[in-house]
Amino acid sequence: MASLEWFCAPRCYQVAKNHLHGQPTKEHPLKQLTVNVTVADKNPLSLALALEGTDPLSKFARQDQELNDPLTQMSSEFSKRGNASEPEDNTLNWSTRRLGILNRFTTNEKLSLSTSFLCTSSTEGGGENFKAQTVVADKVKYRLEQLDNFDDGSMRHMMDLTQQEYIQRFDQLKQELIQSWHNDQRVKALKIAIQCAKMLSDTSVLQFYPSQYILITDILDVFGKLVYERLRIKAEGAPGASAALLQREREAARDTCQNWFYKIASIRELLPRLYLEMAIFKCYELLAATQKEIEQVLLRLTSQLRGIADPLVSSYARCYLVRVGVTVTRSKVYIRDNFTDLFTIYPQIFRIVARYNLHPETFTAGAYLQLYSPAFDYMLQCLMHESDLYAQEMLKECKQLKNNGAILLSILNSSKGEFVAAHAHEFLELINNSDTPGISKSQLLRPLGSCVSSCAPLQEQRLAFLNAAFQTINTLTDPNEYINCVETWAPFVAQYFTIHEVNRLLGELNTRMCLGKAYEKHYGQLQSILTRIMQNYRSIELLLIQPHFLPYLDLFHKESVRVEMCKSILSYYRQNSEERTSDAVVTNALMYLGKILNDSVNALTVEDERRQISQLINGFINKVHFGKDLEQQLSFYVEGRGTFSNLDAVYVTLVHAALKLTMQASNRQGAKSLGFIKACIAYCFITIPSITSVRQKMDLYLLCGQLALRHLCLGQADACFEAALQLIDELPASTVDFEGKPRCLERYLVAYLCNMLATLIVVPDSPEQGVLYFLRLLLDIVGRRAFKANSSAPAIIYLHVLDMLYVQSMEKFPYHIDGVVSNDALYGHDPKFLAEVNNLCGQVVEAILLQLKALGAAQQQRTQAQLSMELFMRIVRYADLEREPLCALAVKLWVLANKAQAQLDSETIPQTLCSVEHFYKLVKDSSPKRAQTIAKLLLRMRDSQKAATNS
Amino acid sequence: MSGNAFNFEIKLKRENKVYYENEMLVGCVQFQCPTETKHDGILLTLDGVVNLQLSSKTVGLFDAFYNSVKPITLLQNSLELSAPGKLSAGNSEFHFELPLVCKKEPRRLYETYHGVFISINYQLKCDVNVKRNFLGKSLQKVQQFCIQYKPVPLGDEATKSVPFSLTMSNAKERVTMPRFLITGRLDSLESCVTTPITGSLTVQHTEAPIKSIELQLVRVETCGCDEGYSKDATEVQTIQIADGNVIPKLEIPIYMVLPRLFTCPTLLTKNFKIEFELNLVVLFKEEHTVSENFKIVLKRASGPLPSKITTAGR
Amino acid sequence: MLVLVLGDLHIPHRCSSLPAKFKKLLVPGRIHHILATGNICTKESYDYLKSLANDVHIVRGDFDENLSYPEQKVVTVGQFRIGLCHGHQVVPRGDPEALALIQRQLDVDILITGHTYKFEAYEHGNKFYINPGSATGAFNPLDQNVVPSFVLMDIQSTTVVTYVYQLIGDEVKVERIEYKKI
Repeated sequence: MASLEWFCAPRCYQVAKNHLHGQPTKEHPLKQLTVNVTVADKNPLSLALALEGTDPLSKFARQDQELNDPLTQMSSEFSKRGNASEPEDNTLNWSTRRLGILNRFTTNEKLSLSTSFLCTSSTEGGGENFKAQTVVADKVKYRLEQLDNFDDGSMRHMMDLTQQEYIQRFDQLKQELIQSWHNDQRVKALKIAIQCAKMLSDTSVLQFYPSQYILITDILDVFGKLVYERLRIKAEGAPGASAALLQREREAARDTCQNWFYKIASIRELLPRLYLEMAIFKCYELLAATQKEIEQVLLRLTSQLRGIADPLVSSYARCYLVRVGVTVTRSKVYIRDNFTDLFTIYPQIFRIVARYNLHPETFTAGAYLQLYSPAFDYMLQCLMHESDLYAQEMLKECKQLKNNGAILLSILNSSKGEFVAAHAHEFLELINNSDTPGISKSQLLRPLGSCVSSCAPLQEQRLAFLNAAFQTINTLTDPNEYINCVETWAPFVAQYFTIHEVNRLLGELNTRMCLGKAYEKHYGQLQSILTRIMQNYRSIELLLIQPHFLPYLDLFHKESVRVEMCKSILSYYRQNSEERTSDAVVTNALMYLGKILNDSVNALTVEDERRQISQLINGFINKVHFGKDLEQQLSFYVEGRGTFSNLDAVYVTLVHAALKLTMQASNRQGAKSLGFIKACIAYCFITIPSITSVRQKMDLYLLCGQLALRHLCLGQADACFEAALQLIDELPASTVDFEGKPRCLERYLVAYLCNMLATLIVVPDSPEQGVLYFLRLLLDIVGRRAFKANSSAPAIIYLHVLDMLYVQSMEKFPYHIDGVVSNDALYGHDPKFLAEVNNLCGQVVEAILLQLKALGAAQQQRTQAQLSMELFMRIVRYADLEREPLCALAVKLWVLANKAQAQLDSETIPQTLCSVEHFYKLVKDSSPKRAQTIAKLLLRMRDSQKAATNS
Repeated sequence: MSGNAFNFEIKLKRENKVYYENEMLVGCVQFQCPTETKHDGILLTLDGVVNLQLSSKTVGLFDAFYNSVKPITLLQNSLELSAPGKLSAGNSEFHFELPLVCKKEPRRLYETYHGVFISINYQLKCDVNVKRNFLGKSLQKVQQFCIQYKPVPLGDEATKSVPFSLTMSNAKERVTMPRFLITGRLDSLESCVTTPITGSLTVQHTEAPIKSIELQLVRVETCGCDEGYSKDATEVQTIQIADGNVIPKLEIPIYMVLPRLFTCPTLLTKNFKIEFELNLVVLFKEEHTVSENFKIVLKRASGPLPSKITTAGR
Repeated sequence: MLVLVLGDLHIPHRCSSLPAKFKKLLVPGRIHHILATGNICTKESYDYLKSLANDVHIVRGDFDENLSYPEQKVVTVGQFRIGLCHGHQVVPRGDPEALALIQRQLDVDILITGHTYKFEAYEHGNKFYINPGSATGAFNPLDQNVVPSFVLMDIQSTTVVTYVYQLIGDEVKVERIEYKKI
């Protein structure tokens, strides 16, 4: 094959970069913040604060605080407190509790309900029933129509309903009520509400009662709202009406309102009568009742509720009264009265409990008592809200009550943290003395634990209190009760005590849970305890080095749980630890955790899990820092390599870390550092082959080679580049990325080789290998690699090889590495070397032409034309155009590209011309002769293009 | 379009339509005519009547049918709002003022009342005479209104509470009755129709569980003293005050709001009487029932629209 | 219109995070677009950029995990066409002639590249070239003394005012460069 003779034209020009010089400025778009810094300057303390903050948002918040003078600060605190009470008020909001209760109290038993307003058929039968009702009522015209009298055969008794069906029925009833109301059938709506309220006396499926209550009071709430809203709108009158008319409207509304109360007052049965009055309670507002009058009605209803004998039904009715009451008055006298009555009927509850204790197979006493808690909790919360006085009173009453467990539990659940904290000892004593059937000590200790965890007793009492509490907790013999208890106390211990107490707690747990393999059943709690401790203890590092910490992990015998726990510890460490750690004990603990994770990985591990684990381990590897002791740092990486052999991503991190170490070492003085750097690079060179991903290996070899070169370790650099190039043979055609999509690696390879070529420019030839050994190796590998059919990749690579070769022909390379004698200095522009370069250029151009030919044969005109243009440009820029074959080749390429003009982007040819013109201008001044050759070439291009179009 | 396609209604100035004796009944008749309409006079009539009926129980079925007692007229008055003429198109109003005075015996206006055998009704009636109205379409409108007594202060009786106790002695079947004792009090036997009946009761002890404790309001209507005599007690309403076996020693309130249209102040006249009684009924789970009866006197001690929430409230 | 230009972060391998002083300057919600020259490396860093501005454009650097980033990208901001390319594909590295060819190929007014870890802003053939340097000051295997830097462009119709933020010693130095489109 006749080889093309190539001659590089000497570089005779300088590309002018007109550096735009900036003016130092204090004004810029991100400024605002500098203003803050100057303000902070006045206060050295806040400056320190400002420097600490890494998160801009919280910093803004902090600065807001700092900017204020003491007075405004006080006022802002005051207003903050005002705001804070608002969300607190939400605690009295019932709606937040609804869902919790519905989810907690469920049943598999069959439920039944009675109503005259639902029919199972799809046709609207409710209306008919309603008509029948009126006929019946007509007969007893002169008797007061009994609203709650439904004994006329219209009642349907729906039995054997599942919970789901039951809920659906009530939903239907609610819809029916709303629809009736909007169809002006208000009596019907009222009757539906009454029927629903009646069903609140049905306690046949006890465990469902609280949910049943929710469902029914939802409907009553809807009814109450409809009545109230309508009356309110009526009382407001039409906008723009005269004063007299408005007065009339108001009176009419009051009259209607009064009628509602009259109607409800005549309901025969006590429970629905009271519920309905409570449901429309807000309407008393429209009667312009004073606060005092409203309070009196609440007191009257309170005492009327004494007529309900069933303590459960009565408790929930009282709860509804409180729900209604808190929306209209801040007075709590009536709530207090309700508790007085509740304490009177309280023994009644335990008579029933005693019955369940005799027959625990149907329903346990504990379960029965739990039915009361939502009602008690809510009422107590309302009573004690912002009132320590009532809280104290309740505590006192509770002490005197027999079987006080149920109430005590609710007090604990509903009290403010500060109150419990202030009376922590008193509560503990109460718990110790409490002996209530159905309520265990651990049940009571749990809420106390949560309370003190969120708000601790006074500093000086804490330790004594903790010891007393654990004296009680440790008496719990049932491991389940014990651990459930500790779970709520753990944050308290972690938050307010020294590491010593935390360690002791962990130790106790280790001992207790090992007994009879108790841990097996309590992994959940054990996990949660450790999580809570981590969240609340201030230093994760200190925790890690406690003698009982790692043994605690051994409690998790089940591997999956242990792995889960290690992950959570490491992720906690990742987010909350100090920026760096150099403590060997901490590091060891981390390595121990990491090893557990590494060992859990096997061939079956899913990719996501593997990545997650690697990320956690990388997290701490990047945090371990031994400061100036680089040798220890490297030996840590050596240990890491030994430990995390299953994790590619960790190896990648280790290599990067070791490479970074070389940079730190080079800043160090002395001969010692060179040896150390060599050790680092050697470490990388050994580690990289263990990584599976070819691509990552290639990247790391290149990087490692570059660093070796930079540190003047030429031999190691060569080894790396050689290894990198040899790996290309193994690089697959495509890979699967982490989103699971296949990705062709050709584009990557092209970019990689360009990067390699740019590096090879400064790599000096090794005396053992021939001239431009790596480039030849590269060409060799590219030449034998199987690219995709019609791929432009090899041609592009060759084009860039040409770029690289041209640099080799220059007298002085555009860049160098300090201390590395590159080929320009090595060969001193020796003609033999230049001939070698030209020879290689010729081969490369031939290779490109072959590619172009192949593309033409495969009808890839567009690609062919684009690549032709690229080659054309390089000939113009690099080649000596006075050589006829080169000039002719340029013209040929031009014509070839122009033939495919139709397929090219319209911009391509003008752009190329523009580049030629640009180049012409560049050389014109420095080398008129060269400029002439370009002008000649342009003329020839024009002529041959004409000839081509004419023919 | 025939000329009678108009609409009209009687409007009273007072929204709640409650009046005292000797007041003026003030209002107007409003007409809405699509076109000009001819008429032959517009007449307004005022009526106030006591209707009495003998119950079949006391006088026999047929007597009850035929021998109903003659109604007693309390008010009868009429006013020609307009002589025959034309109603112009659009809205037109005829204002009226009528004195509420009973000129004949009993020279007094009783309170409006709807009972079983006795009712006391007051109404205004407006007739429009239109000769061409062959279709028989009613051109009459009726507007009812209420008469109430002026409130008077309650007597001393009203402040005296009445203690009571229910024991086996109240029961009919004493032998089979379980032992029990319920004590309590009614706050007074004399009260205002617009204030609730109040009191309290306490179950001191009971051998048998209680099912329900109820309070029954009964009206006693007596008709005619000459030709026939009937006295009937009928239930007005019953409300429950305790549901289930309430815990002993806990004071349970008695509280009953009197129904507005079905009660009136106790009325004793020469021709008829309206009186009220209360029955306190205790039902035991085993079907036993005991009750105690209280005769009460109702008066009117506060205005028609009780101020604020006194009625329903306390 | 504020356009943040930065790249070559190399977090976490070469640096643990952006310099704190830079982070403090970069407040969410003030920047409209981000042009990243690559070597963002991890998803975490990408998410961080996303938190600063919703509109983030990235080209692939030699150490980007995500292979789906394009090699080159053109973004139009106001009246400017801006080309974006990491630059490790350029032979020889940072060669202005090669960059000019890319500029012409992409037909852009401003060409932004990285890879040299050295801030640069120059005009050539009436076009504007910017290299924001490395925002973390990550080491460059072939170069010494990397100064952490990034660039903020304020684009107003035909003018782009470029602010260069450099962390010199322990202080952020800001310089202002104005460039007008001809």
